[in-house]
Amino acid sequence: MASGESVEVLNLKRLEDSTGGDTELIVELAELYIADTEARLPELLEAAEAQELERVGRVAHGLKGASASLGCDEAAAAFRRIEEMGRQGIGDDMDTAVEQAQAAWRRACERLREVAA
Amino acid sequence: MRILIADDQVIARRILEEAVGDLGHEVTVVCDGREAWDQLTATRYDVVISDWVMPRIDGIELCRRIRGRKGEPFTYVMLVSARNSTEDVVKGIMAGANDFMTKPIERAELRARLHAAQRAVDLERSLASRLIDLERALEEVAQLRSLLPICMYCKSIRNDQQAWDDIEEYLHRHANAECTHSICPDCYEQHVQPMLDEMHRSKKAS
Repeated sequence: MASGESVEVLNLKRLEDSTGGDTELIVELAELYIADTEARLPELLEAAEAQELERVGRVAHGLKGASASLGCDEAAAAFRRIEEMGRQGIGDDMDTAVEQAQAAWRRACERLREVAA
Repeated sequence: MRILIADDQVIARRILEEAVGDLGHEVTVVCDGREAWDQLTATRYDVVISDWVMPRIDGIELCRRIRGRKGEPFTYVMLVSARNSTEDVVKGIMAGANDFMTKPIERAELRARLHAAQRAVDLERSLASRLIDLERALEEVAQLRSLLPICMYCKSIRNDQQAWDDIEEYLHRHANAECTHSICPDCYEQHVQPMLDEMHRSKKAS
């Protein structure tokens, strides 16, 4: 993402649009997102450490999609960057990109918990 | 409509399932292209909403398989993907998709696109029904044409101009058939033998 570009941790309009404002569905999807992405992150870390860039791209693609669907824009952008690096075979700075994505994901989970509470 | 949703991403799948169900459609969800294909070979769906990137069979291959089916009712295919370049849209449509929607899905857009899908499905159903009616009508016409109005005494046949043709002439004109002349055993007994007998009698008498 370009420096200075402001990306929301949680885009509430997107979340509202995806769920039709159904609060029960928001709670269900928030729990589903946290559990699903938490289960997939270790594979991303493992693939990144092993420099298996194609696998990195594939796992990041899924994480990006899940994040974008719920309006977790910051996490989606971070995973998109990793996906592109994986697809283009760029291994340099992968550790930093993964760390940034994890941090964005944690913030997204935190906001989702607040909204779903 | 009966709608099949195929997406390997649980969040996207659940969002689509809820959004499509809220619009009053009957929804089935599957986790990848292989499961979608298995469903499609067992059950008829009006619309398939499929993700592009999926394990085993991806959305593009699923489109090709659906369009490759012969004699199956029409299925409207909507491809959904985070990909949104012109090249991707062209590839999806050329593989057989009727529509292409970019992820993440917006409910208002999905509603509008499913309206378009409904129109296409209704039109295809109406055309299929008319085609069946037309085939039936053609069968009836063929049957009527095969019923020949024939004189029960002289066996002349009434032609399209309401004139009566000799049967040999009629066959020649309509079936391009020529007749060879011969005598069947019954006619020989009924017509030829009496003539021969009469000739013998006349000969003896003279």
